[in-house]
Amino acid sequence: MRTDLRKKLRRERWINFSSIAIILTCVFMLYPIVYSIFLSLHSHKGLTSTFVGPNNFVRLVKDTIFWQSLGNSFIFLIIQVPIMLVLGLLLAYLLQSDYIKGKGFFRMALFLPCVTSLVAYSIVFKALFQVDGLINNCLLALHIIQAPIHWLTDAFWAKAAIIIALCWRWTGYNTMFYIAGMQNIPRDTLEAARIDGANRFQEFFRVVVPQLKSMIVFTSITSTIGTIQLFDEVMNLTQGGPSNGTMTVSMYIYNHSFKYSSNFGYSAAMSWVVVLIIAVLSLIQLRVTRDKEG
Amino acid sequence: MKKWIALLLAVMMALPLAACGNGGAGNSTPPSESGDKPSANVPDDGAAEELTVWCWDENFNIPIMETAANYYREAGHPNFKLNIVNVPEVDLESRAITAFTSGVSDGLPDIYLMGDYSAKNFLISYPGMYADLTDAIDASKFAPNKTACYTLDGRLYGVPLDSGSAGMYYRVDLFEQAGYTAEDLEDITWFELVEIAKKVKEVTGKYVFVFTPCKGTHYMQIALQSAGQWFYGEDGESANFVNNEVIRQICEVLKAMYDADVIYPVDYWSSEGVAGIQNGDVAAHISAVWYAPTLTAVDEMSGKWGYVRVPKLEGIEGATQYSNIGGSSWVVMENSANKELAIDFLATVFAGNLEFYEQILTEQAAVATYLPAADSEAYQQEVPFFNNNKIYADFAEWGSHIPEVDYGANTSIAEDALRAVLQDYLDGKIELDDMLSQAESIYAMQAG
Repeated sequence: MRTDLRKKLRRERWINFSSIAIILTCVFMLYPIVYSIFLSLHSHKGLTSTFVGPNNFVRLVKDTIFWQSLGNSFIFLIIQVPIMLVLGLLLAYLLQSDYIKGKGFFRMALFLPCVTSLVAYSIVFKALFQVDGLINNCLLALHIIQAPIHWLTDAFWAKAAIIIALCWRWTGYNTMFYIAGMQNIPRDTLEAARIDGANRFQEFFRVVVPQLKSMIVFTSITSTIGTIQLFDEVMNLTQGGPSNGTMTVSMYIYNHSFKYSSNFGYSAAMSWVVVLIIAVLSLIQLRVTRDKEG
Repeated sequence: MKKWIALLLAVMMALPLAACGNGGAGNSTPPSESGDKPSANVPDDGAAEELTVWCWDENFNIPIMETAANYYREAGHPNFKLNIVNVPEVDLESRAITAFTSGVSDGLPDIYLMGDYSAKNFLISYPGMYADLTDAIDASKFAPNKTACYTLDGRLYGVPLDSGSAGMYYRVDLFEQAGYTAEDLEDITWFELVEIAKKVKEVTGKYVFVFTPCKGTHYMQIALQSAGQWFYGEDGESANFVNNEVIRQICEVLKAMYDADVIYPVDYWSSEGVAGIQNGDVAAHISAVWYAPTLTAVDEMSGKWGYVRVPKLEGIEGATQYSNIGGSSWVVMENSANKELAIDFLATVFAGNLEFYEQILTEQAAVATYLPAADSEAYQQEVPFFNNNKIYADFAEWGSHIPEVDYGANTSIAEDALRAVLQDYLDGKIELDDMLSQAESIYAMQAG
């Protein structure tokens, strides 16, 4: 009798405790997700909506701009994420070494970029990358280049500018994860390596990096997702141009939702393709790391 | 198992993107400025009349609206109150779309400002959202090219505001150095303009135009409108690029400009583009009458700027030297609780008060598209900055001749399609025919 009551109380408490979270999740998370599947089977033009079945996905396969923007996202991913993560690792290692004074200051300086507002930093970068902006003027003064680079109006340099902006903003964020990870590495493993005569490189690659593996996997997955969903920098710096050279999938989805004739159905279909791609990429990343373990 | 949980988490992180894509269901929260819609519960007893307006530009549209409110108060509505909220055009459009698709239009204002190029897209995509103004506003009193943007199935949905009457501003002193006077620029073709530009660059070393070459589609728009055409075929929906003589001619003009290196390649509306024009690094700029205040803002340039009509097209039937760039108009929300008041306000001030138009011309240099206003005295003033020419009268007169064009629903798709391939053509990587047919297929994919 008593145990029954206790069980009942416990069950009720469990429901009371989590009901708000469950309801909120259903309304704001599950419903939109399910509804977006429903939307992706329709074609919209403003308020008019027609059921088209899988036609949005067929259209998507033929849409060269979609593939181009997906390609751009992958270029950002393949070039920017490794640069950022390696830089982050090195910076974290430097900040953990005993020779650096004023670690707190450097950590704060590294982390500050990712607390600045996305729009604010984009505007600053836009000014820096202007034809007569600070970066061109510095490069010209140092005689590295002969003529100013058209950073934001040339397809190649616009991509470079976006990658530089992304690295500036997100390297410090990943560095913080690595620092946290490094603090969990037992000091005696490092000491043992040093006693055995390992140099700094060996210590870094053979002792520190392997023990940071879970952190590296985590940061690479979050960075991959972040890069494929890239929107703010592109929207504010180049608006996808020039010649769609920096168009990302998110920007393209935005254009179809808010710039053209508001085809939310097509946008939802594209979003689901992106979700699938991210799922596959994450699965591959997890697989690759598991194989190494074994 | 752990791996699967991790994968699940990764997918969950990706999902908000999918949820974002549906706009209507996920992001239905209307924008909430304080004072957005204070008028909803006010009884319409004539004592407290209040409207909310969304528009952009603190130096132009907002003071114009404030002036309009003053005139409405004088016209027998002493307690009239107008809440003007500054909302940039892009934000305004996405807010309107969000409100319309979610079916929650409480957050919308009573009146808002709409860009003319996107007007048809909104009128067609969101039927029943905009108030029919046909009976309240006499459309024949406005420039026909403006009312055409807001006329759907014979009904009028917008009250035209400023004129986008186009012309070419040029530096009199620099062109004189190269041996050109105003008469040499008066009646020229686009190709002749490029030749003149080459000479000016050679003599003065200055660029003659400013825009990002691959975004040069606004030249096509200027030329198309001057010939009474647009990007579309006969049906008004499908793209007509390959067989469009106007677009072909302008593409060749753009290529000639690009090859001659007379374009200062930055966005013309960006701070460096504007600075280039104001500081004298750029010798000419094709724009509309609303650009004049940007030039007059620099006092030391007084007397150095002149203006002529836009160049003409070669061998195109119906081609004129009158065109339009940009411009905007007021629309009223059909679901607004104060619809009647909003319509009366616009009809009283914007479609009837000449004094009002004289004041905004003097204060904001706003050239109206209300045709009777052009006869008023303020328009005849000689402007010292432009060598005592009657710039307002001239642009207003040109404005009344601008051919009517139906911008349709897909102007920004057409722009983006052409911009996607224009750079390759300018670089000589593809021929004109290939470029235009590629642009047509991109357009077809986007318009779906």
